[in-house]
Order: sequence, then C-alpha cells, then structure tokens
Amino acid sequence: MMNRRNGVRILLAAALVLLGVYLYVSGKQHQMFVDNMAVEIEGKTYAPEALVRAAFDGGEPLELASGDRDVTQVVGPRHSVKIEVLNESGDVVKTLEGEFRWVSTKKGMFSVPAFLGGAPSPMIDSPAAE
Amino acid sequence: MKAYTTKEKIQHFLISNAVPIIFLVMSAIAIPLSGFSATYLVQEMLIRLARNSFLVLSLIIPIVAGMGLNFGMVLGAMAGQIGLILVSDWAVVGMRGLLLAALIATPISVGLGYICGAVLNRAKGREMVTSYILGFFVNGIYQLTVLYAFGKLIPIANTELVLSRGYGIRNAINLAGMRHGLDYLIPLKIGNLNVPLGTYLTIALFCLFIVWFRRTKLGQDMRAIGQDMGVAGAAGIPVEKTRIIAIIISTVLACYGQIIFLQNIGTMNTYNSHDQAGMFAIAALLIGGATVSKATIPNVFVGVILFHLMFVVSPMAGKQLMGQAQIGEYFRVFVSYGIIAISLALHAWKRQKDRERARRSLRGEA
Repeated sequence: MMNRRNGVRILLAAALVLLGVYLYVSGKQHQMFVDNMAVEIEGKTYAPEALVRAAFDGGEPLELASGDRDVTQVVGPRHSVKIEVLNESGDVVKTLEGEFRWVSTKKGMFSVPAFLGGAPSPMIDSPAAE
Repeated sequence: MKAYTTKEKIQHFLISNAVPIIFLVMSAIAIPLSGFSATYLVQEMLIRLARNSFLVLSLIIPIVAGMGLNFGMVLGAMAGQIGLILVSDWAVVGMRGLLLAALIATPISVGLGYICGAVLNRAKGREMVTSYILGFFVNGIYQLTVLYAFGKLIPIANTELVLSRGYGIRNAINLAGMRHGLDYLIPLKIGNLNVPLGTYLTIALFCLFIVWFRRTKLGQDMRAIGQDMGVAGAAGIPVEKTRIIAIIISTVLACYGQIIFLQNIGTMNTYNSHDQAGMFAIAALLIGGATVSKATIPNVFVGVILFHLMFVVSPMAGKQLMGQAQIGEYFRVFVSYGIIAISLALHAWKRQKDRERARRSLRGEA
C-alpha cells in the first residue's frame, strides 16, 4: 500500500539512482584522440598548424606537429582546452583557450585545426570507432 | 566493600592494558633496531591510520550490541570490492568513482548484513565463530560470482579486468584512477609530510556519528541488549531486530571502510583483500586494548598505530637481527594472527580474574 513512508522510500531510492547517474556521467573517464591533421567539417576544410601544444583540463600538454595524432584521457562531459601555436623555434605565436563537450566514443577525436578554425564542434569521428 | 590497594590497582591496570603494553614494549625494542627515521615512521603512520581506521571503527557497534567482534565484516568488504570492480570497468575515476562504488555496494552490503544478522540471531552466544564461518561461506559465493558471473552474466567491457578465457576477474585490479581519490581530496602538506586530510575528515565524521549514535534510542537499546538480552527483551526492546540493525550498520560501514582502504592502496587483490581486511582490523582493535565486550574510539586509534608500527618496523628489525627480512615477514603474520589468540585468551583470563576480585571484595577478603 502506498502510504507516506513508502512514498518517502521511493523518492529516496529515485534520488539515489539519479545520484548514481550523475556520478557515472561526471566521473567517467574517456580516451580521447587529439588530431592535428586537415579535416573537412560541413564542407569546410580546416588546415593543420605546423606545431601546436594542447593542454586539456589543465593537464600535461601534448605537442603535435602537422599530421600528428596523440591520445589523452579526459574525465566527465565538459572540458577546457588551451592550445598554443608554436613557430619553428618553439616560441608561442598564438594562444587560444576554450571549452568543449564530450559527445560520444564514436566522436572521440579532438581536432586541433577544427578548434582553431572555429568549427561548431572540435569533436570528430574517432579512428577507434571506425 | 574493601578499598583496593596500590598493588591491586597496578595489577588491574596491567591486566586491563596487557596487550597495548606488550605491543608498546615490542615497538620500543624494534624501532631502534629497524633504523627508520622518525619522519619516515610518522609519514607511514599518517597513511596507515587513514587507511585502516574506518574499517576498525566499523567493529564498534556490534560490540556495543553485545555481539562481540564482527568477523562478518568481510561480507561488507566483499560488497565494497564488487562496487570497485564495476566502477573500474565503467572507468569512473576519482572521488566520483569512489562514491559510485559505495552507492552500488550499499544495497549489497545491507542485504548481506541482514542475512548475517538473521543467522547470528539463531546462534546467540556464539556470534564470533558463527560470523567467522559465515564469512567463509559468503567468500565462496563471492568467488563464484567474481570468477564465473563477471564477464558471463554481468557484462565486463574492460579487457584488462577479465581473465584471458573471457570471463572472471583477474587476480589484481589496478585502481590507479581512484588512488588517493579521498585521501588527497583536500591537499595538505606539513613540512615533508603529506596528510590525507580527506580521509581524516571522513573518519572524524564517523567518530561523531558513533558518539551521536550511542546516545540515540537505538544506541541505548543496543547497549541494553549488550548488557543483558533477557532484561532488554523484558523491557520491550525488539532484541532480534536491533541486533540485525547493528550488524547491518557494521557491514555497510565495513563496506565503506574497504573502499577507503583500497583507494589508499591503489591495487585490489580480488580474491584476498577482504580476508586480510577482517583479520587485521580485528587484530588492530584488540591491540588497542579493546575486548570482546568493550571497545571505544581511542582503542581504535591506539590499536591501528601500534599494529602498523609493528608492521613497518618488524621486517627491518628482523633483517637487522637475523640478516633476513623474510624473518620479519613471518613475524608480521605471526603477530597478526597470534595477537587475536592472545587477546581472546587474555580476555577470558581477565574475566576470570575480575570475577575472583568481585567475589573477594564481596566477602571482604584481602
């Protein structure tokens, strides 16, 4: 029978399930590819930079030359990124910071050219999902 | 009644605190032999106190309820490990991973605690041996589940967790993503010492919970049952229900304790971690001066420090004395199991002495 006590119990159980879902989504670690290759999104081509340094969520930066691809781990659905474009002598010529959202494992590759070129989302199809 | 002489008072103090005194003397001998620096020992004790205290504290409530040392705490530890296995598979990391593991493990540990409490109600007066054997029984079910159901009935996607045959969990699980997730949630460094403040705050909250819980109606009921089940029952206290609640609380807390323990270690031994947790927690509590019928929060901290001090210094002391660290390792195992036997024997001896003293004082003899 549905009395006040059972109602509270059901609400509590539902709250715990919701908490579980929140913890899962916000604490899930993703393997993300970071790509510095030319990419075409919605008919527009984004060219790679000769040398970039990319740091995600304040972590250790990755250095990628044109045509390079690396892998990193990110946690949760929202991420910050700081990209520094370097010249031949390794000096920073341009810095761009921003945020992006994790979409899915299928779209698990971060495209540096797409981010620098201002594409709607820097996340593109992951080679692991292909 | 006759007043006690100084000699009797000293004798009573020594008997009451025989185990901590023995360990204090052993430590005093072993520390200089080991050659460890004070900074190293303090850092080790800070880490180990954070690692073990929660597990040991989970033993207090059943003792209050007169159910002795809850050897069934391994049931909670197993539930915690199941939560950690699932969270490792789902790659949920950090503090969120630990909370999710605790959330998953809570209903499992409540269920196991209920079963344990119901069984112990049918074995009144023999709770310790019954819960010990129940631990073996549930360990069998746990091993069956982890060896066969995980990967077959319960999907496990992470190939690093699964045995090469395609089902069953590997012997060791790397908890790198969750390591120190709670310990260093709030980073604190004093000099060269890293203080696991997050865990200490959790332990402090737990201590406050125990203090508060003892004053509640349920806590008072448990104390009454612990003193005399017959009288408590006659006073209208639901003895069996209260005993089950005591075991459920202990099992759930042991589950959280095991999660805290393993996040500190950073590696989970799938098939053995829980066994060690139960035995070492009980040994630590007894070394702290607790008995089968009385345990306090200071007993927990004194016990954990003394027990782990021996753990740290004994291999090196063994090496310095005998030339072999393995001697120290044997000594560690001997100490952890032997102290339970010594404590139980001393407890029986103390009870007999107390009865004799009570009889003598009633007769008015010297």
